[in-house]
Amino acid sequence: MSAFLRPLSGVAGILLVSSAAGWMLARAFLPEGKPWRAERLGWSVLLGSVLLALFVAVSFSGTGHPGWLPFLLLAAGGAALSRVFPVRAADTRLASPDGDTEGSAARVLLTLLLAGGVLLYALAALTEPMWSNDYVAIWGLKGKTFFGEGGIPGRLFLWQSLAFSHPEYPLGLPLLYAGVAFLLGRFDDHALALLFPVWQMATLVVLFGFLRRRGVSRSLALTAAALLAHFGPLYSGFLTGMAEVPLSFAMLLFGTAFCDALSGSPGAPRRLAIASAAAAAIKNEGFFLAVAAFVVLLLAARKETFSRTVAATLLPAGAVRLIQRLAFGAQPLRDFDFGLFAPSSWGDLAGRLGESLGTAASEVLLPAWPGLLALAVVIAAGSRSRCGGLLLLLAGLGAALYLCVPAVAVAGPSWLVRTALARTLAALAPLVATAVALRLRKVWEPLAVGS
Amino acid sequence: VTARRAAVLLALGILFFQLFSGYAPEVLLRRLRFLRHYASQDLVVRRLGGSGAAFDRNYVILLEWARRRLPPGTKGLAVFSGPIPVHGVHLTLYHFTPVPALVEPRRVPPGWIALVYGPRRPEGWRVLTELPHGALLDPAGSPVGRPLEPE
Repeated sequence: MSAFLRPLSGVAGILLVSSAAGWMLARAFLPEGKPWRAERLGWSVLLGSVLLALFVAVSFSGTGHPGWLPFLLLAAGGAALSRVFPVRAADTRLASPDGDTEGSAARVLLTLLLAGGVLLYALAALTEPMWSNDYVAIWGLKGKTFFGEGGIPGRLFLWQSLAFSHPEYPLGLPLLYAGVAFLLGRFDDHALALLFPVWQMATLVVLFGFLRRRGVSRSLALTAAALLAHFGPLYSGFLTGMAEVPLSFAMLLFGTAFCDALSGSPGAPRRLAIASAAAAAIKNEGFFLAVAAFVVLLLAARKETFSRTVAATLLPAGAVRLIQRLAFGAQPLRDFDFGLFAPSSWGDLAGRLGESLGTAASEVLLPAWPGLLALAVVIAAGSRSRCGGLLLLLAGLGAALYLCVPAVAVAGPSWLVRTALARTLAALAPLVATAVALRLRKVWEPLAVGS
Repeated sequence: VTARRAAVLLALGILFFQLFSGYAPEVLLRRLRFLRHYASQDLVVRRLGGSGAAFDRNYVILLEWARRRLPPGTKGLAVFSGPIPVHGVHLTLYHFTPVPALVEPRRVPPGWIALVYGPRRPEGWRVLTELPHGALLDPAGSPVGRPLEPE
């Protein structure tokens, strides 16, 4: 077996085992039954990833060395708990429509397109060891350090020379890298890249399953998944190793659970809680998503679901932030100068906001105008969908923040726009694809019949 | 077909076209060739042949030689790389992890050794190992924390 395929098979085996453990854990988060099967598959990948990161954190906080035994013990404990506290009631109100009317040729074509997107991203992700600067400087550096040191050394938070690695960023992804490396027995930054196509596939499966459960036709769900699978600004070799792909996956799970929670679906608050914690543990944008969801709740929640949904949205994300703060101290957001919010700086702030929006328009949005215009058309052509609207609102709040926050960037608004805006916006794509498909549901049905 | 449905179909067609036009056949072929050529090679060789080392492959070759020749128990490594891009600085620290490293520090911390890229050999520093494109040196014989270059 080649030098690459051996560790790649090892990582594949670890992901299979962790996802199998996640499948057992999923009993505590999703109802049983056919309408939930695809989503359960995707959630299993997330829960397996959480286990892989969590067993490292638990081992580090005790005296144990991270290895198969603590991982399997944690997985077994989680599986046992999920048997005690399962989500029992199946949600029969939102089942997939019986039988689809679209032709099988269209379905085959869309499935082939979808598979093509998955294969092309797998090729991009697995061509070479992960190499992008943010992987090397932040996520990979920390993961490799955790693995090499068998702990979390203080220098990552204290040394000025390591400030570029952003001590203030959440540690979920580096812990996950270290977790897979501990189980593999080595830190192989080429084989670890397999995580990314797996997260892409899990994202697509959840997208498809959720849309089907919400009554969207098979061909429309496949179209949305196929489009997303080929979304190069997110699924690229460059972003492999960075936090956007897992964040976009966690954001989709958050969004779908958020909709479910507001419609009283069984187990939805639990799903929302774990997705909120996962998103906040991956990137600061994940924490902002929880805050944005709270704002949406103030506008849209019904009285009977409000308090439970607020708790499931905010508490887990807040807990993740609090634990890191207690363990490693308060770390300032070094990239930003919040002094610009002082009234005496408002003039300067307004100028910087203009620069941020101007650079975003001219260098990020205008070059992508045909795609953005097409997106605007499919959003406008859709019909009202409560969940679709909520997801668009969440994504819109995220996009608004990403457009405005460069105004307070220490290195200048244009710098942050150029280095980060396109990829942070790209991470919203799964949420937007889901929202658009939900809104197109009624428009699409006559198209399918006619095809 | 109503205008609304036609607009949806047209917009979806544009989206598909936009996304597919992002693929460059020559890039796909280059990826396949890379995988076929390097899959049987060691991980380090794959990194050396990849995008991350493209800024200066000789420098990355030196990093790998130095990593393999680091004396056991090395407390830290001061790397004197000369001018390299910021990605090179980050890659240097990543490459030696978990051994702490600094790139172009003003002084070598006590107990650390140094890696110098290129032919420079600072006076008073003991050469531990000559390597391709550089050398590992021990500044211990010189005053602690002596700067590599005159300040």
